[in-house]
Amino acid sequence: MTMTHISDDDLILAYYGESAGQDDHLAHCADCSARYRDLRAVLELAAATDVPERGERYGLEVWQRIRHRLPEPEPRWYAVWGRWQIAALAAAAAVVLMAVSFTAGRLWTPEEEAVAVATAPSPDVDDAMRRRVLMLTVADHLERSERVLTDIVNASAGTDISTEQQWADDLVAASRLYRQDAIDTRELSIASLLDELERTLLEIVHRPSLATGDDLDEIRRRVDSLALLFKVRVMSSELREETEAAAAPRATLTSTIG
Amino acid sequence: MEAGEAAAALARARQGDSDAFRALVELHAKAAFGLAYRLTGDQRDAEDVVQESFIRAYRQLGRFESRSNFGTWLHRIVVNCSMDALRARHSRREERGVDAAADLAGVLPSGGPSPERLARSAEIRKRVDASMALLTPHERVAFALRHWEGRSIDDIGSALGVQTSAAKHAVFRAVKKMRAALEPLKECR
Repeated sequence: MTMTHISDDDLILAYYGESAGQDDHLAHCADCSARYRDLRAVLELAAATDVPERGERYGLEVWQRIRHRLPEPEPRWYAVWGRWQIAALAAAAAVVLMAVSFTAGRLWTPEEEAVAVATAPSPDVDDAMRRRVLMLTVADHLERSERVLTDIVNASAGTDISTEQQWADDLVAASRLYRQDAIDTRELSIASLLDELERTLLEIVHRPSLATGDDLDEIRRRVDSLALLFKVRVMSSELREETEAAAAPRATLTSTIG
Repeated sequence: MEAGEAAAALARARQGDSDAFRALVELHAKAAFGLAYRLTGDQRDAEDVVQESFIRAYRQLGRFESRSNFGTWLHRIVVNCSMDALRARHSRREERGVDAAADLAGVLPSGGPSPERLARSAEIRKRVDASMALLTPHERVAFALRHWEGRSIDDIGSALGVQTSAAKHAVFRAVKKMRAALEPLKECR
């Protein structure tokens, strides 16, 4: 009678303890037992990586990094309903006001003081929102860029900077999009800083990954001559303050509604 | 923080209390980092994954079912964010034409291997890392969750949002690739 051996896949399951009933076969079949030992010998090479230690305050550090980036939580149904209701009430009030104004205009004589219906120009909500999103996104982008620039400025000759280069490469791609958005929304100072930043990030990307002292000095000189780190920090902090100030009245309104 | 306090913090966070959410971040950040690091194998990616995961969790708090465990829910978000980070890394490597197999060959000496040198765990570690680069993001996450995190294949399927059979095959493919790449090291242990 021919013995059915355990397949490679089932050996893997047996190694991970996810295949019941193979023990007996493994104990009696020299061939499968040897294949199992072979598999185990290789997989045990891939021992668990030591996770780099994080200090006691790590949670707090994470919080500090994300707290400005926390979005509005997705609204719950009753909050959405509440906002819709208020919007409907506002619309109804506007209709009543228009009707009253129209009737008043028909009834009153021309000598009487005309009723001025103040119609404040409605702000372009889409533009304001788009601008706010841009500012928030650019602030994040600048903070990430600052980290890369700081790493490079502090790197020593012969350091492998390939990780920073990969990061810089991603930032360049993102920066192009933000710069175009900044131009579209006429935020020319943001666009100009992003342009300078992009050129410097590209300089970093195009250096050898094992940067020499000369490579790093050249990047440092460029960063210093443009006062780039300083500008990035100032702009990022200004954008944060501005978005927080813009968000404050909205937060109050939301809490009133909710 | 005790379980009752954590549940209270979660309830307050769901009402929009950011201080309560901060308490949850402080409670879970280290575990999230450990998981993200094991899945991505890179400190910086892991840091980004942790931040992105908490931001995503905060945004989706309204969808979180209070009877579930926040840690379990966050685990799934960290897995998803890690997958995104790995996909981004994978496509960057493809765009640059980086050949992971060639990288591995660079780590594996082709002639005259020195067993003493190879036996050093740092060398083995480097080769394991290079072997991991051969895996697709799905395979890598499935392997890391099974091999290092000790998650069952059912759990892996639900964390990745795929059928158990797909999770199982991702583990099989990963093990086969790892095995082929690490076989030459077997004698050096």
